[in-house]
Amino acid sequence: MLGWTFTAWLVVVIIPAMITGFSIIYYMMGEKKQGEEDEA
Amino acid sequence: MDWMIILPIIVYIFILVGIGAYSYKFTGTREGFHLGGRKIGSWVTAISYAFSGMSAFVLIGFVGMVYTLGPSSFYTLIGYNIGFAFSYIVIAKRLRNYSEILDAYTYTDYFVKRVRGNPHMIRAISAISILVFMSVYVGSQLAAGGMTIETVFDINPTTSVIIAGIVVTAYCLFGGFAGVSITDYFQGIIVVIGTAILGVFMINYAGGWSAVVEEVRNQDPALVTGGLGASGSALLGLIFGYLTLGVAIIGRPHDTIRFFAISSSSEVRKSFAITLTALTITYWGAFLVGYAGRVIYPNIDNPEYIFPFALVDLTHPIFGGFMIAVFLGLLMSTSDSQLLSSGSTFGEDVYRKYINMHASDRQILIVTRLFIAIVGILSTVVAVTSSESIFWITVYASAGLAATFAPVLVFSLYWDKLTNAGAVAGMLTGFMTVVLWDNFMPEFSFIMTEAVPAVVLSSVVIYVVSKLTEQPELQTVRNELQQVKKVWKK
Repeated sequence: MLGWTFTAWLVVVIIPAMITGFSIIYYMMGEKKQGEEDEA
Repeated sequence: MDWMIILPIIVYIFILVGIGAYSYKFTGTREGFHLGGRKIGSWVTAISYAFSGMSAFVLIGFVGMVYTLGPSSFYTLIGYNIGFAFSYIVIAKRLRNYSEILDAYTYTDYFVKRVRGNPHMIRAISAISILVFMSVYVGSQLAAGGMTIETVFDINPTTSVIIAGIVVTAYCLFGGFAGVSITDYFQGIIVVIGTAILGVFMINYAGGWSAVVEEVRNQDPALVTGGLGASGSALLGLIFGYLTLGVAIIGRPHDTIRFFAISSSSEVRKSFAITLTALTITYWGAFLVGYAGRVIYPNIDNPEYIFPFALVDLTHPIFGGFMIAVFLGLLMSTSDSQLLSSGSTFGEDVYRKYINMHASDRQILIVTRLFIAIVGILSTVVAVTSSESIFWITVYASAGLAATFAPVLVFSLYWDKLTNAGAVAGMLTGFMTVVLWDNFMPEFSFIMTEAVPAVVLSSVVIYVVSKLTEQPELQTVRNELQQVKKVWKK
């Protein structure tokens, strides 16, 4: 795929993107929890 | 010397000095100088945290690694991102709150107040560790700055490093924490965008993605795989070795101190997401620079020079000058945070506590600034005399700081029975393990960073010694640990 092995794509693109994605989801979950606490 | 390149650099330095002068107004009080009055928001915290840690490492050290290792160099950054995630999830919120409960301004101050009891040993070990490893760390930034100045201005390397040392130290003397945080933010944003643009530009310059991959494959087929062509246990060893570098970024004083200053502990999660997004984009940009660099400069002697070479040789002079300014800003963001944490340690933890116990805030600020100047000079000496690569100097200095502080930091935020003796023994063990490991078992440094054995040993020692001794204010500590879990707003 585009000249690279799958492991190369995995290491350079997929895993870093997943870790970053996790941080964004973690933030959004916190926002939701915060909103619920504020309402309570 | 091309004035089209130099002009943007000069304009940029004027902007930085302007920001330093503006933030001088925050520095009249101790809390203001050290922590920007604990009013720093999530964006500024996130970007300044990211780049006070990554610095010259990304654009000089990492670009050189990409040139040598190809995609496998990314294991390091995955390790770093896991380290950042750990810092945000496990440490940030509790540390923000606990430092305010204890009214702690500096890292050492936090540990002393947290563990109670005799503070002398903790202060001594912190001061020595910070002085030793921070001088080395700042030295690596100045060496990288020297490489860039040398390439652009075509002057000799030693003079280049001395110029870098003077600019960084002078800047840090003015601004204090607010200055450091605001400029880190400003520079960090430019770095993220600028590095991405340069990476894409270089890939295009080298003939496009497919041509670059094809050429790299011709040079070395292992460089288009994710494991240097290794398999089985050799591959696992490689992955493990680089992932463990992430341990070395946890608990370092110059970036962890950002958590003290965040305006509210509810900002922590947002800051986490911004930090990782900004860093990942920058890593990708730097990766493209190093990878295209392999095609454009196939016979370069030292691949850590690719970034400044590319800017001077390949790009439009105004873009080149702008990007070099960005890079020097990035170096300053790391160096000034590190100089500041050294200065704070000496002014607050040594001068105020031992030399002049009745010192006024003004006197302490003068001493802090004096010490910043001393460390600046020491670092310049390190940079001029060192022959190691930027990558490995940075890794070593990080490991030393993380090994001294990370284990005791985590215990202090979660375990009520941590004692003064346990903390002292743990910090000493971490510090000594890094120093001895590197000197007596240099072959192991290539298997995993010194930080791993140091952190493990230090944690065991903290636990055992704390169990054997007693925390004199156990109930108070328990109450505080309940408090730190809550959301606090300034």
